[in-house]
Amino acid sequence: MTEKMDEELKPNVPIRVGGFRIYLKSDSAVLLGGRLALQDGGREVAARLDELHHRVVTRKVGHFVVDVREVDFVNSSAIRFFVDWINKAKKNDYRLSFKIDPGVTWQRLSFSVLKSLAPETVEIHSLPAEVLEHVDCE
Amino acid sequence: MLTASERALRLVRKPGAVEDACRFAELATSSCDGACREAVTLAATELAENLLKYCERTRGTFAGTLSILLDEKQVCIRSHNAVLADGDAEHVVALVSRIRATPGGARHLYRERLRELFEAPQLPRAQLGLLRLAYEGGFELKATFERPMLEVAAIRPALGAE
Repeated sequence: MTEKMDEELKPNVPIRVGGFRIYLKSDSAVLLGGRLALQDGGREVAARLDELHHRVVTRKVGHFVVDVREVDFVNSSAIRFFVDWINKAKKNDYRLSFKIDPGVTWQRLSFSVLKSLAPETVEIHSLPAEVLEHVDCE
Repeated sequence: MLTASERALRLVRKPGAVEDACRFAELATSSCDGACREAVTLAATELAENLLKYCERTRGTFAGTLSILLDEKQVCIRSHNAVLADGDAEHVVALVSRIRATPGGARHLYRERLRELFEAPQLPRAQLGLLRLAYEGGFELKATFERPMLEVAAIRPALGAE
């Protein structure tokens, strides 16, 4: 499930895949935004999340923060991307902290179940929307 | 007072078809509250993706029909299409029956399916869409299959409809 990608992810260089945004804020935190459905480049997003996983492992980051509060909607395939990522994090012994907006139904309900898959690997932080950091992509 | 209104969208296989379904849902539920609009948009997207993935392919680009019926009490979103394989439709009918038969079933079955995917990453299909409709969207689901036509209906209160 890898698609050709022009450049690797770099801190402070936001990229856009269809309607989805990925902004690596630092070696230990990424901000995701937008929406992801069937026709929005799901395979490339999966490849980018896999790239993030390998980056975390290579750099021996023990705790990686994924801010999904600006993700308005994801389809079922994207929920699976998070399942797979949690699986890989568990196997590679690092922790994932998801920042969610409790006002967004899919985030509140799906991440509570996702945490139950690997409670020792996953942390969920519900944060108010006003602390969101907006990022524009080229 | 809202009077009953029904809108239909003929979905075709083309780039942007899912976006068309989202816009259709947003327009049809513009008088509803945010939670209802969010749920119907979820349903429109998941049902549209299913139509595009599993529709029968001998009818040109036509994939199937999405319709939304809204009145002052409830909203019903329905997909109707000819299926590519009977087994896919039979799986849908069986899953909907299982959701309906399991008390508090949606969260339990959603969690169970995520656990299956977590433990078997090689499984080819996520098959989470209908579970999300029931769990995240709070929809009551119904499904009927009369070869080759599959109909899925998702119904929930239209809270906030004016």
